[in-house]
Amino acid sequence: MIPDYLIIQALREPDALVSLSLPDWDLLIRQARRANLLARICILLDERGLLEQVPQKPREHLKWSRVISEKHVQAVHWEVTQIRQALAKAGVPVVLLKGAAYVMAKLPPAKGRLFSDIDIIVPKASLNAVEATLMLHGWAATHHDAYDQRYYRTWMHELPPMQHIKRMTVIDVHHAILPETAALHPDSVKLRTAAQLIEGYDDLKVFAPADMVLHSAVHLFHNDQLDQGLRDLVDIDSLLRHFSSLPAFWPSLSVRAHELELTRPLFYALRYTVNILNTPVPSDMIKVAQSGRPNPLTLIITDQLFERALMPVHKSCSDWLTGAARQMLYIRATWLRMPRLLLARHLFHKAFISPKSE
Amino acid sequence: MKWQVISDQEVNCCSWGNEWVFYNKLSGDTHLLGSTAVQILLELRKSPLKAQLLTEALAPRLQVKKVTHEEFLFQIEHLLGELNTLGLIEFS
Amino acid sequence: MNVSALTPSELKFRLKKSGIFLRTGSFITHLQTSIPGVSESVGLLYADYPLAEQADFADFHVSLTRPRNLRRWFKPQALFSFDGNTIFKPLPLDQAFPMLEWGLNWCVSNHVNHCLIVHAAVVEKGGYAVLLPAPPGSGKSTLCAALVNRGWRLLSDELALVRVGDGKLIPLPRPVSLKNESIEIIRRYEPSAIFSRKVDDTLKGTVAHMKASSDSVARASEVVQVAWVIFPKYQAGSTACLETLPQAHAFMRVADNSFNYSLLGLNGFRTMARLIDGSLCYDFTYSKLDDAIEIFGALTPQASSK
Repeated sequence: MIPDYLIIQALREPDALVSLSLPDWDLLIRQARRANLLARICILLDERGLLEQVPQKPREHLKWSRVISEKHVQAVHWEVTQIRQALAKAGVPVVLLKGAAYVMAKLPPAKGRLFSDIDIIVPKASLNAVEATLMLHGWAATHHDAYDQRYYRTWMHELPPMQHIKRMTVIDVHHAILPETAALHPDSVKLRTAAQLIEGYDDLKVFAPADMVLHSAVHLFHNDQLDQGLRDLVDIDSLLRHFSSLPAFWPSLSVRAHELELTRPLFYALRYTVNILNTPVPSDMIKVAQSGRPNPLTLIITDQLFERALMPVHKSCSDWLTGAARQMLYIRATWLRMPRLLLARHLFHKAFISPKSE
Repeated sequence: MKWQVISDQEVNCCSWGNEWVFYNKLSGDTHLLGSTAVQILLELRKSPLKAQLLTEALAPRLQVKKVTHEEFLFQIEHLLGELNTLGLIEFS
Repeated sequence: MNVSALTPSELKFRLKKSGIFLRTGSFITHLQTSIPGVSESVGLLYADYPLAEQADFADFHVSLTRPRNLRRWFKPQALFSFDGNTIFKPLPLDQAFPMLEWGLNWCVSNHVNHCLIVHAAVVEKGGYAVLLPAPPGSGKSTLCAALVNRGWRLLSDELALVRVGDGKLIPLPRPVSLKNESIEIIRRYEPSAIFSRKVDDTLKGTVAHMKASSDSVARASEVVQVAWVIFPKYQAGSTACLETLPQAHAFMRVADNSFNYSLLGLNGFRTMARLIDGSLCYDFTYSKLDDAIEIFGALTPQASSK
């Protein structure tokens, strides 16, 4: 059962928002703010010409949050310019991932999105060169702890995050979309080879449509942090709605899911976007995606977990099982990313050795 | 290689006396610029120039008599570097 | 209905149960707390503030609680939450009311974006406002407290809201925060001023809040034209001196003291440019409050802003 929270209603049917009562607006704004979706709701209403019909008080909150997202979009453009300039000299092809890709390729999930960092993927062989070039241009390592450094470099699919010393912006340099230790091994070379140039650029690429959806799905359903879960689900919903107008999109999505060993995350992505956000997915596609379906018992459990953990972290969107669901999904995600012995070692280190500041 | 200003649409500015405040829409940063830096921007706005030619164009206007040509060129090049870092001009 | 219409025990009960919907300036805050000290201070300093007639929408939902941990038995603490999320680390229970004030500032400065928000005090006389931006320690609040006790209207002590579009200042009169020696200075300067209980050993030293006049609270919806931007600096033993500040420099310094200048992008630049253009800008050094009052009384707006 998908709960009937206001935020879910708003995302499914923005047009119905104009009839909301003031107390409902009060609650919707709190849920949406917590889910980082307030600016998106503002833009959805504005596109429909409905923003000015919203009562004045909630309308102010919507517009305040849009100011923040506009600043984020401007900052992403500038940061990408800086990254391009820095890496031009290294001669490494840059593929943008996630939020930065949506913004630069002008895709609809960019609407009202907030950013904490920029993600790029480069060939594994170029990692050292990219890291050195970025350091030359003012980015510095953030994880100084020797364990963290080794953990990232040995097991992860990315360099430790790097922060620019002047702008304080963070870049995540990936060489794969899942850790080396994960059970699934989507082939990074295939992903990069299929990447497409962004219109107007000759040095900046994003994943092909199907790959972009699959990466978004992997990111959400293998992530140990689900506090942005609903926003990530909205990304997938928005990509699916947008790309469905491309003639070969749906067939290529299932072909790529098989080629990249990502049928399971695709199954979940379609299941939860359809169930939670009413995403229109062709019935053929639903049928094909069944190849990624887990066994019935697992599915009953994952449904219980995701349908709770994908909701905003707000007291109005929680029941007595929500906390436990988040905890179990954290363990599940870490499990999926690391073999057992290594996981035990990592959790032990995190719990007892790594100093954690509050 | 010549220096040129970024597009007019990307910059807003205000002036009080001989001091200017520039807002760079691309970087989102605001800069307080003195008259020499502004003269450089105005000159480059007319047409892209090499540092050498720019120096020759500016020297009479900025009444540089007390410094040698080399010193003046050095100062201009330094300012060009700064303006480039701020994203207000670019190399083409 | 104002807060003063409630008896202390009614206020305490409401704060504990459903909370109150407190109107400060153009914002409505839903406040809940079971901490008695907070209820007393709210009753004292917010007596003249209206309670929203209908509790159907609040800009900010905040609460002050005592964290449920072992410490509460030997070293009680207070926790400020914004809509259920903890924003600051817990502080000693004693500091709960100052924490509420800081929390309310946080709510505004972290969400409100139809205004350029400057860390500044603002006072008004004769239809024109003085913006007093200043980093902590410059004596901004002391000067502000003195001015509002000598006929100036308080528009804001901490957060100046300059409206994007027309550059008008939107009042947000709230208690004036005074620190250390300033508390006694203002008590002596105006014995009738009403203060909250002094709290020692906060991050900012000893802190007390002075009640805003009922007139300034009643006139909180009257927006004002800013005519002067003055950077105050208290300097012991100095002669009061108003020194013209080049406007481009004033621009950069006000931007430095702004919470959301950069966030507002081009609108921030335009709003700031309009503010600076319409204002006479000064550096102001002083040591005696009476000298300051005299100099401020003699200020005349520049011709174009009349």
